[in-house]
Amino acid sequence: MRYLGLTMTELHELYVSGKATPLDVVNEVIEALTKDKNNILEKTMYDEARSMAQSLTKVEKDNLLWGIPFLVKDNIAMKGIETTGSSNILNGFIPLCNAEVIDKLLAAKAIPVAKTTLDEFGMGGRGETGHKGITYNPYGKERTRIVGGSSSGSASGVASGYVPFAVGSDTGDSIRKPASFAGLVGFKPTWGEISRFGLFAFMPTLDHVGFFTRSVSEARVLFEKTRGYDKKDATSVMNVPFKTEKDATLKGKKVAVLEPIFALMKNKLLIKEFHNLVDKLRQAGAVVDFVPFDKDLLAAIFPTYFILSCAEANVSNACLTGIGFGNKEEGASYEEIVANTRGKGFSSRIKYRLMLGQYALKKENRNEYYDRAQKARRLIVEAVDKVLENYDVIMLPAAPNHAPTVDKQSEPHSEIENNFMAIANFGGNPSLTLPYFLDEGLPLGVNLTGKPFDDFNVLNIALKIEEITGLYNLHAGLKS
Amino acid sequence: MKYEVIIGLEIHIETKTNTKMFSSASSLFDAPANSNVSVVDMAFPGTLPTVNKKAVQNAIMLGHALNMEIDDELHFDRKNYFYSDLPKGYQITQQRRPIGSNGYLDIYVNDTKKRIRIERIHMEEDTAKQIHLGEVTLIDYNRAGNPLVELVTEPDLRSADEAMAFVEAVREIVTFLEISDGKMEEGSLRCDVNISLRPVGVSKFGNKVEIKNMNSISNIGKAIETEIKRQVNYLIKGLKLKVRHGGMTMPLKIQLQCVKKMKALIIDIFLKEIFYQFL
Amino acid sequence: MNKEEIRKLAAEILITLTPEEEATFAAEFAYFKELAKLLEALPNIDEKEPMVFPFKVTQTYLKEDTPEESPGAKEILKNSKNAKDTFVVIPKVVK
Repeated sequence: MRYLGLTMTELHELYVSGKATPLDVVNEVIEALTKDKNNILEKTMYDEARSMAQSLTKVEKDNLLWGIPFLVKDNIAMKGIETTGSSNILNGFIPLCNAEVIDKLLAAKAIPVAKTTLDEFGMGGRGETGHKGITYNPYGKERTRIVGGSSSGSASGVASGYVPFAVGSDTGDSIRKPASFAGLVGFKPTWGEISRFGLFAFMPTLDHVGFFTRSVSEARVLFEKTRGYDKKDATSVMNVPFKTEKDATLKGKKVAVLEPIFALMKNKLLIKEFHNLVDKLRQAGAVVDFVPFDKDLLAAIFPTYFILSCAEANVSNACLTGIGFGNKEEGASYEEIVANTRGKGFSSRIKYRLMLGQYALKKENRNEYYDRAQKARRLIVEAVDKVLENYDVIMLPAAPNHAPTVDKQSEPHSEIENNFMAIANFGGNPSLTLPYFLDEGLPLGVNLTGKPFDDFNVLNIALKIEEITGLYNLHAGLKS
Repeated sequence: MKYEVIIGLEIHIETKTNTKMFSSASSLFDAPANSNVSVVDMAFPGTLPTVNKKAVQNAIMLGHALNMEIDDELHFDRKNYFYSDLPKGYQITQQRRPIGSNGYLDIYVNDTKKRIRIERIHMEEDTAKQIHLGEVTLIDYNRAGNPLVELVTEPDLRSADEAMAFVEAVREIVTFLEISDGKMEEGSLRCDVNISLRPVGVSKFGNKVEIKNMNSISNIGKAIETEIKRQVNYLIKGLKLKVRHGGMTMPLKIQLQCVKKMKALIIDIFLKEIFYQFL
Repeated sequence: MNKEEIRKLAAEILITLTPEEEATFAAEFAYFKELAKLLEALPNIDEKEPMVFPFKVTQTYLKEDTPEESPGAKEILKNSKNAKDTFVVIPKVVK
């Protein structure tokens, strides 16, 4: 177990000094993955990974991603590798090209080793609804806790220490919530910074590609390597000048805590630790204010997210008919084939969401549902923008508690504190979760959300918080 | 009682481009089946549309020739329905913000000039081709995604001859501007006719009937005549006019030559932003 | 929502439902309606302009009209269980 639980930088040093080769590392990763008990895997690509590792003979000293193994959420297309979205309707589906983010990582000589489980098509927050069943959190007693979703397998795999990073996606908090439950850095950059080509669409103007790492600087490296204009994605940003600061510092940084959300927290240790963090930030020269936020708008966050995402999921998944591709069922007519295929291939959950989405889009309902949700989106974004006019980031606990056990459902009426991170999807804001304390060995994260295109500022502030907490390269303990 | 015929036309024009409206596959659909189909055209998950500059240029040129107001932003909408020739389960079109609106075309029937108002032109993508053979349907996705411009007139036409003259005029314009082959028999120009009758003097429109997929201008005329006969028991006086097919007048020719010259400038001047607005 | 309406909604998006799913959907729908009510509560909500994009997108990328090679019939149809030779074949479609 010499190469697991290491950061990119540590692996890189081994490569540069000649103490290890990518094949050494990949072999160990594969061995660990085959022994994983948390149900994190979709299709594996062990032969391809070994083959690629073997082909990497000349170390690239200035390339931190060289020879680094990683995992990929199974809603991100990989050429020649079965990609299912963790749904039976796409069993056997083999994309003909890579997602752009994958092409960029391959060009940087990073080595993909396996696809990971997710809540079916990204629609879920606990990591329980993929077609392979529940994905477990490596923290806590074995196979008792959820890791969150929808990027469940990616989060679990990185938290187990198998690989230094995994690619995920975030439409409402699907990277940033599991990051909290799994003690990881989960980064969702500004919308359009990373091309969405190859990411299975769920709600296109909320969808983002992002990463799980065990340190902030690794998230930054990945962001720098994968961001940029892609002509296959017309919404990927071009020519936006980004501001970077030479050295990260908290001096003069302004942090806003949305007071009404924080007031909903009940976990006493979480509250205490958060206040501790606030104190430390202030000691380091940051201004931290508890600011007001309209309560009706807060209550509107989850409904806005849910209505919009159901409606768009309905449209995004309308291509899944079994006709041109996909796991089809029999039928005597076009309609029968499609209805049977979708009826059998989608889980009940997905069907309900698609139906609700269809309802929200119908002419007679649109004003009350879809259109109104789009209007609410604007109201919420404007309110968030208003706060960020005077602050660098909004900071809040990423979740009200540590990862729950599988049987523990959410508290009733806890939608706000469990779903507020969607504000960064509505406004495309860069948003990052990182661990800030451990509650009896179970991690909890804090979330930072910044202004659109201010990604490096968010990363820098996160870096300083990481220094304060000392929670760097956390993993659940490698079990042999 | 005297009736007048109210006719509106919806004309679909396949515009000449090398690639499809929203993907980089070749738009040559007269090729071996499914040989010009990209992952975007098949609607594989994760694929995204990108807008074809030439198709936009074609649409703007047509808009100028038809004296239309050109939108300074590009908006697209998704029209959702399930059908076997529609891979995405929706068609990308321009419902709310057509590229061109409020235009007109002057036609000549028997030396009489008549101005026909054009409500809109918008861009959309074509569907796959389906070949029905016995008990099965074969789907060829080569055509799926090809660029179309849809032209919708106001219901200003009052006779089969006017309708034929209008379609002929459009055909001449698109071929002169080299934005389409304009060949109805090959499907690069398709016409749907909306026709209704109302008593003379009444302003409210009657129930309209849609006649689709005529493959020649003369068939348009025939279909309209047949439909009129079908809708009334007696002949409408004044319909049997001698037809002179709308040839291009000098002013129109000059205007079109200007439009041709403007081709290069069009994109920079007129377009500000692109939105993929979702229905 | 009654059973008839539920079946109709499912039919619109071409999915089949089991009797259990039909029964469960009513509760899902009731919850959905409650969520929508929270939007109603926002002051002057209907006067607001709908927001489609996360922020103002200000680029005008239009793709050049240069063809790229397509994968070819065999490759592009290899994921279709309905493919026969170079076509996708389905039972005759009635318009």
